[in-house]
Amino acid sequence: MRKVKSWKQVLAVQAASMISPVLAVLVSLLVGALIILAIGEDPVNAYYQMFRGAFGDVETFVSVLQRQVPLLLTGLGYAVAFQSGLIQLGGEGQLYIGAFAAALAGYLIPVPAWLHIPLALLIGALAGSLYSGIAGVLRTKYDVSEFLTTLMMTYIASFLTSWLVMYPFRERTATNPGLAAQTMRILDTAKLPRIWPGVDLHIGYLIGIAAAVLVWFFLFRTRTGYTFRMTGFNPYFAEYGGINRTRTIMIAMLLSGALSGLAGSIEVLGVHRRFVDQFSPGYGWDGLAAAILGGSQPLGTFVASFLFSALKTGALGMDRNTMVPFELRNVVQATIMFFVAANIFGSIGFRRSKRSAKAETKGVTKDDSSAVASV
Amino acid sequence: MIHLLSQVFDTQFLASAVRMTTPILLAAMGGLLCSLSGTLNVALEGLMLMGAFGAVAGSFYTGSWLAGVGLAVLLGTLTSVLLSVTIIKYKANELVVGLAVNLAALGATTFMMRTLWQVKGSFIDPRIAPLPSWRLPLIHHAPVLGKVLSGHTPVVYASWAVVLIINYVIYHTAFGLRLRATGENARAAETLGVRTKKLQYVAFILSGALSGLAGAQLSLGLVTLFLINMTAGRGFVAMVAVILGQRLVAGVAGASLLFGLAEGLTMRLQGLRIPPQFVLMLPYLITIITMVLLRPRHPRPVLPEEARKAALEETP
Repeated sequence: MRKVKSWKQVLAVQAASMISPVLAVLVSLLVGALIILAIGEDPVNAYYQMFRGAFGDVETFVSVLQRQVPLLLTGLGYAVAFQSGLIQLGGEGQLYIGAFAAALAGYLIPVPAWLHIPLALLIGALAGSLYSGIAGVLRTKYDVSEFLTTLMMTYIASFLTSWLVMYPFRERTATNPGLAAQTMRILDTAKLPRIWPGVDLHIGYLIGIAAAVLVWFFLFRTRTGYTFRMTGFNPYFAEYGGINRTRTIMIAMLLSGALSGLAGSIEVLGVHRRFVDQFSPGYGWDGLAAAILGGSQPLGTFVASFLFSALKTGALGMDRNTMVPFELRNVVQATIMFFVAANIFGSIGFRRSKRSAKAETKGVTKDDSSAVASV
Repeated sequence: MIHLLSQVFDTQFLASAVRMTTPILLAAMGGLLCSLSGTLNVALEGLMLMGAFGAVAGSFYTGSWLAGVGLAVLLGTLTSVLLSVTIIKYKANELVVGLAVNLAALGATTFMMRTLWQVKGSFIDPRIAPLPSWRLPLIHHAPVLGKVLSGHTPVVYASWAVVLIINYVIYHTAFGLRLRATGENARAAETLGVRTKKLQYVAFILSGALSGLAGAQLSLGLVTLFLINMTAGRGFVAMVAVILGQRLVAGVAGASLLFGLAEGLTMRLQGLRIPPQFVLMLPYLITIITMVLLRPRHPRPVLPEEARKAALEETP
């Protein structure tokens, strides 16, 4: 087992691994500027408006932080899976399932606040966890690649929650005269309180930071976390070394889904106060981009989720004040991902090893998971 | 029950299944070529989306469906070239870069929609020329076959030709043999003088063109509009078809037809009194169920316990 590194070493490694992502971000912003020029607008003004839209005043900055939470939590979910060599891509679906369960727990269970909030969050996380667990069972028991099942299950989750909120759990009271596709409002005891009175930032942000620290501690400072990373690094060697692969895969899948489920629960309890049909504007996919830009590291994912949240919030401001459409942000974000993945700037982790390259030639088999392990 | 079945399974259902099969079939054939050459194309979804966008744009600006198809194939191909350079030349991780291309295609198409046509969500315009429906001579007047097989878009017929051509090329030409050899063992193929990288580029470029064509069927054949993310996972379904078809041309075509039938069923059930969400999730559910039931049987990997024993026996 590797010797435990000192804080300084950890920081040095983190700093070195950030060079390539930072370059990717800068070049992508440059690509974005060229696109803005191509549609006949002023890139300097557009980016200035984007910056102002994100950091112009306290209100916009708070909404950057607010939006970061679901990106960070789903991103951490992907990070756990990728580190364990699983290509789990169902964060968006697990977020929906978790959000729906938390909404039900939020208005159906009448308990005091000190119990209600943790209970609702737990139920949401558990629901997301069970949902991703299905893909885990299919993978461990039937050898079906989680890469494709989790993707398919994302679509299913979206339709399933949509049906649940339109038929059995639709709010049919006087407070919903237009019969919008939403559940009842959660009880006051389940609302996430604000961190500071007067500032519209709920404690979900602190939960997100705590989750990032815990995931880091778990992956890099515990025995089980080590076995996860070992399995991700080389599943055959790990199994040869006595690591129970089935158990590792199952736990990693459950944990990954729990984090995404938690992301959905916090959105419901902290922002929407109820489950609203199709409420997520692709948080799960932005979280995936954050995990990839962050190199599947908790700290990296934190920084990347902040960046993407700022990009998104800022792009809304840019859309309002210039002729450059909000969708520019999608292009810039995808370009960042592309540059990071394409390894144009010579990052360390992304080059595929000989072993994984060999495994990949067999098509989409479970061996592919090793390819993403180093992400 | 029998009444319900007869209500669902008629020639109209089969004809719509044939139409729905085409995008999946074309993308799956592209995926198959990549897979045979030993690479993995995760970006079929994004390439198809670029194709769907290109088809609508080309058709809208020229008024000709042929130009639409041309632009669809061009956009799919160009995107695929970009993807293949990063994978083959820069040795990027195929999965991550493929996913990035999917997201980039989604971002680029929504951005272009907004800047070119100032619309969000969907773009519908009477100036978009749809693909025509062509009658097959002879077959068109055959009793059941005519209704099922005739009256489709040129892209549907092209997809059948593509299957036959790929089948011939892969199993009966030197190119096909070299392609398969590259996938089986690239190093061994190289020692025999096969230019493996070139073959992989060709496979990627063809898969881009085929996925682009698939997108044209989606946006100009099945409907006449462009919708955000209108591929809705069909590219991934095509990847499943490659696995289920055990990387055999006939197998992949069969698997694609199965998914086409699932989508045709979805269309058919939408008129009945079933909540639409359940009907819409059917193709994805069916995909997962078939992945479990029809999974290819891999040769069993050596268990670690056995490997350890074997290693112990070998050491003197």
